[in-house]
Amino acid sequence: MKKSGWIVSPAPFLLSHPTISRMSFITGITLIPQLLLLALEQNFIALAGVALTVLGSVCAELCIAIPNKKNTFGDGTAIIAGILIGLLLPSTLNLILFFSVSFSGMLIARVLFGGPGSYWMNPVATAVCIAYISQSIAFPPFLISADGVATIGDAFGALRLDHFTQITNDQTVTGTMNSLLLHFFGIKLPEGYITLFWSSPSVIPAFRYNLVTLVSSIFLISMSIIDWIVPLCFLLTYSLCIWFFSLLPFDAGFSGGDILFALLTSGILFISFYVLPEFTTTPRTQGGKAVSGIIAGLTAFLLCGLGGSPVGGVFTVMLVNTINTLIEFIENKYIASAGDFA
Amino acid sequence: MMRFIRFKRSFEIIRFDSPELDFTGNAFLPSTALVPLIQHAGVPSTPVISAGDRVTEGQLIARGSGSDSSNIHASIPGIVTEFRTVSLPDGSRSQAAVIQLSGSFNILGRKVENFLWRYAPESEILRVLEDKGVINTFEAPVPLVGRLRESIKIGSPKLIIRLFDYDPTCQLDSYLSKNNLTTILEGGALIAKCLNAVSVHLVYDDNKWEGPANAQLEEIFQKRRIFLVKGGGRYPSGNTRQFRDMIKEKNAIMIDPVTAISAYEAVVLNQPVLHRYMVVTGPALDSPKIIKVRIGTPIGDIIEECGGFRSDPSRIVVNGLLTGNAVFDLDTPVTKYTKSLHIMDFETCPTYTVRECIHCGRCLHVCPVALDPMGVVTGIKTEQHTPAVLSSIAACQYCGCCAIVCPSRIPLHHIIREASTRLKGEPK
Repeated sequence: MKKSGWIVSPAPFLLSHPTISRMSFITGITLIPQLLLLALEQNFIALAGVALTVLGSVCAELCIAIPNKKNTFGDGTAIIAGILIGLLLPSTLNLILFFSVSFSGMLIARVLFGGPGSYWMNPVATAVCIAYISQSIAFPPFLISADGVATIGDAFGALRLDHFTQITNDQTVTGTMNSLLLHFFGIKLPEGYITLFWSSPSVIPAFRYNLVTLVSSIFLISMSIIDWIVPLCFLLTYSLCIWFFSLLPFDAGFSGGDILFALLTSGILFISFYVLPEFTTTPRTQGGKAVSGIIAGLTAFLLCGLGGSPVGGVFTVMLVNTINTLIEFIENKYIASAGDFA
Repeated sequence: MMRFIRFKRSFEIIRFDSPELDFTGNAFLPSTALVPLIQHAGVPSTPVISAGDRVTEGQLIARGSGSDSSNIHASIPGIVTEFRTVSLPDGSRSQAAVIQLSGSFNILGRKVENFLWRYAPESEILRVLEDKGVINTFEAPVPLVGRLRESIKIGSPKLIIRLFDYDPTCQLDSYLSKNNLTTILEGGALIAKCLNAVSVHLVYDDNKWEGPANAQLEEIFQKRRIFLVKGGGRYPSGNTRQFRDMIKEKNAIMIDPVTAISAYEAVVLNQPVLHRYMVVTGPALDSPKIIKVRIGTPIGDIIEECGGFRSDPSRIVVNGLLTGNAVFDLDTPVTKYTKSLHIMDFETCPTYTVRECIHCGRCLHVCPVALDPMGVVTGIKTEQHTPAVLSSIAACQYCGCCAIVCPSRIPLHHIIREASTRLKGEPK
């Protein structure tokens, strides 16, 4: 007689996406070049900070996982969150704070703002905001001042006015690029942008290596580790706002804002690829993601302005995460009624 | 060869590696066949033999008890040594007649019969299909004749023949459609005759139709209306709900190539269901091939015939990688509903841990019926059986698209199926 069935292992046996652990592993791999560059530049304080934030994050995760008897630790997300927090904190921050903000940020985001997989506030952004509130003096000031921009007429010019140190090969690389590639398009890249791309002058490690971040983002998107809609809409909206409206307060008219400067100086690239598109805190439908990205772009323009903001990007994430709950509320209504919003 | 499966909704792609397979002939006869007494959904068959009896090839060993049951025959001649509980490819357990091979064959190697079914009455064809234990393997295996009779009773039935695999990794139906189309069409035609089908729909995959022209098809199907429908190509394609939506008719019998071939062999060749074509493949198998296997053959014997394991197997999957079942017992016998065997290694099919949902929304994007699988599962877990959750449970096709894309490896469609089963069992 047929007895009650037991399924040895449920289908499917073929999967189209990497597991969470694998996603964490690949994200970790893409962060290694940034850590190596910190080591090469002998920025051991920043590295120690990263180690402490990882420790804080892991401890927080254990504090949540052990009482709940849930195996949430093994997916590696706590380690990645720890590295991201460490990279977004300035190396001038008190070392004890590295551990404590990471620990408390993770704990608050995962306990107060929902459990694992359902928290609506990004733990990385929460931790950095706690650090900013705890020791705002450790964070660098805005890279440029309104007076500087008003005097020179553009953001990058204002930065150069202010003891901006270029890397050794900036001049050579800029010259080569201009003569070999850019002159075909009638573009002339001013000196200094290569420095911003390769090693932007900032005490916050995540703001420094923009080129590495860009290359990493290609890996992350091509391997479906992160979603592309949120970063694309965010960067596009922010860039358009910078181009059209950033010079309006200085009576320079519409258009002409420095997009590259804005993207390379506030950690916008790092935040748009590593923090903002975190699945847990973003809407689930493509429409919802696009709206979220656009709102993030507008918010970033309001908070970071022309660029060079130390925490504008992180506060943008906090604000958009709050708005995302509303987007999701509307989104869920669409899914339930139409079932075709996705 | 790398193959790609596209989802019906969303641009996601599933990749899987599969060699070009060819039919290599009959598998070796098993020295011991384990013939299960239930090989279909419904009521188990009642054994008509006892331990110690001698059986001949094709002899009835268990009689179907009602329309939800089907006859089972001895796939090899020999002595029934015992009745033993064995695990089945669908994960359940059943009593099986253990037949030790001995004696002579009275079907294998004998002259093939050719019954002129076109001149036989419908009732006679139905009786033969019932006697020979033909089951319909279109979806869950069910006795064919019971369904045919129900359909005849309702009136004006339609026949749909799916000429491709519902689970594209299975590959058997597509192979048979390409290489045994004449037999499949004749098998389909005799089912259409006994069903008195008003029309026949031949649903082929996304390639060009390479079978007989319409006039020829009408000839084969005795002047019935023939519709050639392009289907398949994207997953999931070819389940009951989609076909019902396609033809806008509830009273339809849907069959696959395996069922059509069984019907042909039962009626034209006067042979009960004794064997199955099987795709045996997978990265951990030495020589992938398509073979004709006797029912009751332990899968261990089949693997041995295909050169054994090339590397350590992680899972042995029956009936496709997207919708099949994993078995662990090499003594699991081949049944009437076994179509394929995938021997997977640890690289292609590792062991996963189920994690918390990360809210990525991929399940939402791929669901072919635009459900919110994770939302439904959350509703089930929290026992919030709202009308929206209940209608979603009813609408789910259990295709597993949501589980295929889930990075947390949550078996979403299994949870919904389980909830559906429980809800059906609850008193209203």
